[in-house]
Amino acid sequence: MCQDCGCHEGGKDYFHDHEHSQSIELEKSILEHNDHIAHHNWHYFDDHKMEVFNLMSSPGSGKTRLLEKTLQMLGDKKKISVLVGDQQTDNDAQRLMGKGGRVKQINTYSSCHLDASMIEKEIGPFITGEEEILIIENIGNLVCPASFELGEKHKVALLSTTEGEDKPNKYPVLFHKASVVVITKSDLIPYLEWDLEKTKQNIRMINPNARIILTSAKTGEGMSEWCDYLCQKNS
Amino acid sequence: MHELSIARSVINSVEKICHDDHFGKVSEITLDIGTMSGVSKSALLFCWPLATKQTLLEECHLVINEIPLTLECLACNLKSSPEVFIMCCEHCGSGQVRIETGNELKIKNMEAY
Ligand SMILES: Nc1nc2c(ncn2[C@@H]2O[C@H](COP(=O)(O)OP(=O)(O)OP(=O)(O)O)[C@@H](O)[C@H]2O)c(=O)[nH]1
Ligand SMILES: [Mg+2]
Ligand SMILES: [Zn+2]
Repeated sequence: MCQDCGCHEGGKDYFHDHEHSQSIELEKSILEHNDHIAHHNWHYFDDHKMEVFNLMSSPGSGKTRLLEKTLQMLGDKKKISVLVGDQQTDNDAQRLMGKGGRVKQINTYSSCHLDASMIEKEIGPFITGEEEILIIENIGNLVCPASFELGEKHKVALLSTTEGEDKPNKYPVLFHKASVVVITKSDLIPYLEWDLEKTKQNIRMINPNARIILTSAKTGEGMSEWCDYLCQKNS
Repeated sequence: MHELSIARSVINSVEKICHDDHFGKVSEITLDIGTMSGVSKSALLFCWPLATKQTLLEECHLVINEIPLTLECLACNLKSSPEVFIMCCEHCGSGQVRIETGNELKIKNMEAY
């Protein structure tokens, strides 16, 4: 039984004796423990009327740069906190510091993704419940973060124009789960052989209902649409 | 390589069951892994012997059932099993489909004594 809320985690009945090897039906989710913590996080965020976004993409797609610009644009209008995950260094937190929100770096060392317990640990020490928006920048990785619920309300996938059109097809799990796909670095389109319509088609094959926002953190293109998206459920 | 985390989750939950129900050793574990779960069978098999070292699952045989993707179309009600992941009905082309199987990430059963 869960110590925090008394709910039953798993709780499947099975029988056995101790004479012989027994076959025991479990039908248990492998990620039950993570999902359970994520569920608690979700309720905490919901109780505190926080909108929580989990940003996922390959390394270097522009998550931190998008957030730098986001904090500059929204920092004085909304109470925003950012948790930024990387295996090592606090480079990303340094870049975000002083841009218009509270920032904390999480280092995962060997782990290639954030999990729900890493977020749970920040409730209290960093997450106060006062924030209107919490943005979690996940580890740069198109595969692993997609499997781990954090308790977020919204999954956001980033896809930069330099990554080609077919990443959604090659890494469908993440793009399928995202409610929004932010295409980044639109300012580079003139220099690339990259097709926006083809990319959008590929995203829709994997996730017909995803909202797609084309942005450049450099020129500011699409940034107000992105900021409106962050704020809309919140206002 | 989050398969190591996946292996650890399996080991932790199985050890907890063994502890609660007084099993001393696990000889076989069967998992259902959907092709859309994001978990690689070969990577999981690769890290399994190492992850189970000095646990009740040491030398436990790992069986992985790979569950293929099947879609149910909300427009024409027919089912399809596309080879590659695509949210599109093979029969009528509708994008309004529901994933019926392929997301599994489950411990099916265990042999213990
Ligand atoms: N031209 C251009 N460059 C960009 C844009 N956004 C990001 N970049 C550059 O792309 C590089 C990677 O950007 P980051 O923001 O560090 O990417 P990230 O996704 O946070 O990377 P990781 O945290 O390491 O996964 C940096 O050199 C950025 O300046 C953009 O809109 N236009
Ligand atoms: Mg970053
Ligand atoms: Zn159909």
